[in-house]
Amino acid sequence: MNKETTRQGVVFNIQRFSTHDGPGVRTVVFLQGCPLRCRWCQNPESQSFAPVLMQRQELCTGCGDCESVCPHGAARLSDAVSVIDRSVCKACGACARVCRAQALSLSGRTVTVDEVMTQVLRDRSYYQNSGGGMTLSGGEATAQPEFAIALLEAARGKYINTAVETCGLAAEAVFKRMIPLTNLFLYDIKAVDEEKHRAGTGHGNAQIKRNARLLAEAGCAIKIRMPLIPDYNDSEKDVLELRHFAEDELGLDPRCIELLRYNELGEVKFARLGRNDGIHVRTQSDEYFMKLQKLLH
Amino acid sequence: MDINKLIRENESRGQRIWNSIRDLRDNAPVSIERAVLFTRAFRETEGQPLIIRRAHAFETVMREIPIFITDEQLIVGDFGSRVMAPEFFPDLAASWVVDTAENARELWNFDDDKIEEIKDICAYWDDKSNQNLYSRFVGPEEEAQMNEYGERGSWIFATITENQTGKGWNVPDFERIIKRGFVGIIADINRQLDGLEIRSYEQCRKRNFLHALCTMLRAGIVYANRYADLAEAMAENASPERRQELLTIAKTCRTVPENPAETFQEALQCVHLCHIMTFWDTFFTGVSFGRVDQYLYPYYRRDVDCGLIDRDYATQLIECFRVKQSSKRNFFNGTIKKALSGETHMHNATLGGVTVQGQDAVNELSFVWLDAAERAMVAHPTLSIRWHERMDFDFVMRGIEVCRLGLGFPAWFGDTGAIEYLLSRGATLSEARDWAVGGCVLHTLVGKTPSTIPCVMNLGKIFELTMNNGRDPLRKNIQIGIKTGEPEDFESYEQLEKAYTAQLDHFIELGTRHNNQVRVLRAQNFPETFVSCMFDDCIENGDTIMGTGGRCQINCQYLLTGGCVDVGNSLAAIKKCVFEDKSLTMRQVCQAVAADFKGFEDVHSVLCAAPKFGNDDDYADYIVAGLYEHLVEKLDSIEGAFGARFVESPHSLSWHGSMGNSVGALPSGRRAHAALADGAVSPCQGTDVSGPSATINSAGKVNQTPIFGALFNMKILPSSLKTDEDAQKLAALIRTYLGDYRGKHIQFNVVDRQVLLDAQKHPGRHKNLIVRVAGYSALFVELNETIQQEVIERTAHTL
Repeated sequence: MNKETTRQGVVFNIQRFSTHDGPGVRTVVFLQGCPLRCRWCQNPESQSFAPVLMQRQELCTGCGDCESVCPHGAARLSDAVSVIDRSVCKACGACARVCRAQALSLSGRTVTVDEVMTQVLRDRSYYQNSGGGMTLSGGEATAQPEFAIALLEAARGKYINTAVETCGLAAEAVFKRMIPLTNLFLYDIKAVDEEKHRAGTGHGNAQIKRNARLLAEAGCAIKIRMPLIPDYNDSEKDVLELRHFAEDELGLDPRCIELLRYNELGEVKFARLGRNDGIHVRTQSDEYFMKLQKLLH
Repeated sequence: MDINKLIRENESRGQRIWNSIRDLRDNAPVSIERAVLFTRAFRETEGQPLIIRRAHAFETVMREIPIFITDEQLIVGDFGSRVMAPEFFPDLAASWVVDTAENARELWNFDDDKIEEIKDICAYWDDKSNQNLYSRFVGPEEEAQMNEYGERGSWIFATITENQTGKGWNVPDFERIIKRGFVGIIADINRQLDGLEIRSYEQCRKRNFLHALCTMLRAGIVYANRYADLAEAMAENASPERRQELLTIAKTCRTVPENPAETFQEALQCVHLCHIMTFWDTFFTGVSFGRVDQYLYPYYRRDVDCGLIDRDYATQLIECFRVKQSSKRNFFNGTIKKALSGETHMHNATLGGVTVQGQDAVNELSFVWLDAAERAMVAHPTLSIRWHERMDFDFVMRGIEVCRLGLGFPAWFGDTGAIEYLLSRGATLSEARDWAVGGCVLHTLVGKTPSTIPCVMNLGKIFELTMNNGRDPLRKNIQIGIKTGEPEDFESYEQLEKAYTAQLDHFIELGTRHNNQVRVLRAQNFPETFVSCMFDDCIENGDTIMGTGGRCQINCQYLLTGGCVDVGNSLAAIKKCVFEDKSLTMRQVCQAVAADFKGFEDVHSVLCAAPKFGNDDDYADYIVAGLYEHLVEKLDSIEGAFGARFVESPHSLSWHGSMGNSVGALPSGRRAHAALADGAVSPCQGTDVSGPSATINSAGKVNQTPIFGALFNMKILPSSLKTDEDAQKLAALIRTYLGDYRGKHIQFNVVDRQVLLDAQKHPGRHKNLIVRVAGYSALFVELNETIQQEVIERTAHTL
């Protein structure tokens, strides 16, 4: 028991009073690191398993504190604005600790199960009063399997409802261990077609589909979620393929599918990481989104 | 098709009436009708006992004040001699009016041809008004000293407000009049007079009181009958439909308040008439309606069941009542107008709660009150829901639906916490379960808790004085407080805390002493005679509810503090940065604060990064909790007048704006002259950044049970309250705060920042925009700039 509560993992955010990641009022624990490389990722800072430095240059006051504390010479002032040389930065976080303007921050910190649970338990009353609980998300929740399972066990030990939001790419054994500890899986499927999936995420989806079948056969509560990416997977054909997969291959009611409208929020984060490989597209119109949703009824 | 929704989309009777009179608020000239009649009557009764003179003057007003009936109105009786006219009460405070009429026309509009008459009236009252009698009693020296502490001095107490506003903040037992009529009360009076011998001072006072009250009740009957006459006269030339309505009004006013009410319309009309008669007697603030869905329910049920009216007509009647209440004006001087921004009324109506037996009290009429509020979008009376664990969930959801409209009400009150509080102050279980909201957030015993006016205290200022060894840096460093040490010499956090507590206790002693004095003098010089007929014991004891009339003396004297959270954040910042992290010195903090952080941006950002109340951070939260604990303990040791003990009730109203205006920068990082945090446990504007559950957890750490009304304001973005699921999450939040944490009160402002900013720029386009300020809602465009800004800067939460 003791060993499990001191087990460490890397978390990049704990979001309290989250209301759209499972039933009721929830605390979402975002685990750092993901095996996929989706170009539309909402949290690109969480893709890497190691902590990464985020910079919001618009907040920089040019005080130069980062330059003076950086042990690697990665932070420099240029035109009175801090500039990070990503090829040298080791993401040690020294600059983020001194940045008063909060322009620099480190995504990902090592925490124990205990530390996470202290935060999660703070909102216990809200879970009880709303049927909510804890949701593991990411990054990818299953990519730190021992840590994730320890968190689920700890939550269940406190009678807290659990949900796991996953891209499905993990060893079957991990899901088998999670099944008895999880009240609801929020299961992302980006594309049913294997090649299309690879093109968008850098990875095939054979394993993802296998795991989906595993959960369905075990009778788990599943919500299939598809983020709708313009010009990638938001055609009627894509949605119908997903419906077909859920109904015919998983034996699920199509009403368990939730379409998520594209959200531009992630785009700006690519810039904060000094990356230029994100996408820039506009979200679907109301009418079109409604039309896609109707395909599921 | 949802029929109800269709009906709602069409403009309602109440909304039509409001729209037709709304614009008069901007320029209706001050009415001096009451002042003229009252003064004339006083001149006729020189030499008689004051209470008799006031009764005679009231009678004159009731017989002669001009009356009118607005188109479409179903409820009659007004707060002015013309629609929306502010009415002048020279008997309360007179001397300021001449100055305002001559020099501050931007505050109030006066008819030029009335100025001479106003001067004459003011000259007459110059040695008679409540305010002037106070000045005479304490003498010029003490008055000058109190002014130093007051709103126009260092603004530590609201001394001007205490002497120049109407008292109230309580809940008369309107049901008594509905059930028994004035005839019943007059019979009680006669029984008391029958055996009364005059062998003591008390018996003499009793006789005068009873005669005065009897005169006033008879005058009230005359007043109601004047409306009946007018309605009948107007009916002659009215359309057939309106004719019927007018004849019903006439019949209603011939019945109530003289006799017991028989119908719903009569009962509601009776409440309104008794309320405005209280106003015509003494002017008032926060005299509330109590449990309107309980005592009016039998009449509603009977009328609807026998087909006399339907639910829709009942809703229209309540709409009409709401519009009437929203037409009340507060004729205040500039200082008070600024402090009580938006012409606050705080005449609260309470819904829900439990019955005396402890069952859920929600009924169909509870829903009808919400329907009416939705149909006639006016600010008054504000609605409050007594929430408890077993409350009908449909009603909870309906309440949230009305919250979504952005009116700022209904406000939500924790029944359990309030009942626990009242029991701890000596109420019986039945009394406690029958409580209602008095004023904005007070848990009041209906027909028992006497009128009050709080001792208003600016904790932000007291902390600023502590940071300056008792000097006021905004007033050329005059020594206004006691010497508690130069902060730069403090070597430990405890020294600072001790200095603040010493400074605070000093002012609590001064403030409560003043409050007692004001209370006793007011009971003597400005008796609240009429309203006393709706309070227990007054007729038996032969004195007003403000004086020794009532047996129940709990909750009637309290300290209304503002800025406790600012002080807590300031203490937390100094404790952390100076004494623990040692990242700043006390000297740096003092210099930065003195300079309003100009040139000390670094110090400012370090202070801002320190723990702040409202983020579920025990460090700051328990400092605030400790400050309240001290206030509660200290006040409990102070005796009030007539057997009361002082209690703490931080409900701020809009005082947090004017208080803040007089406070320089604080170590919390708050800049000079900005508003203080509103209410009791609302975080400082923009410092709660950890989401709604964290903010509520912080508020839940303060032991609220011994606090008499703890106000908590939360702003929520409308976009996050769109679906029923969202609403259920808000319900969970309410349940956690009021149920699990025994919170006392929470209210929501559901409004977009953009809309507020636009309303600041283009007030004309947003004349009906209503927002929650503290324990009341007000028209946004009528708020002063500080309060507007404060509402805008509150953190908006997403659910």
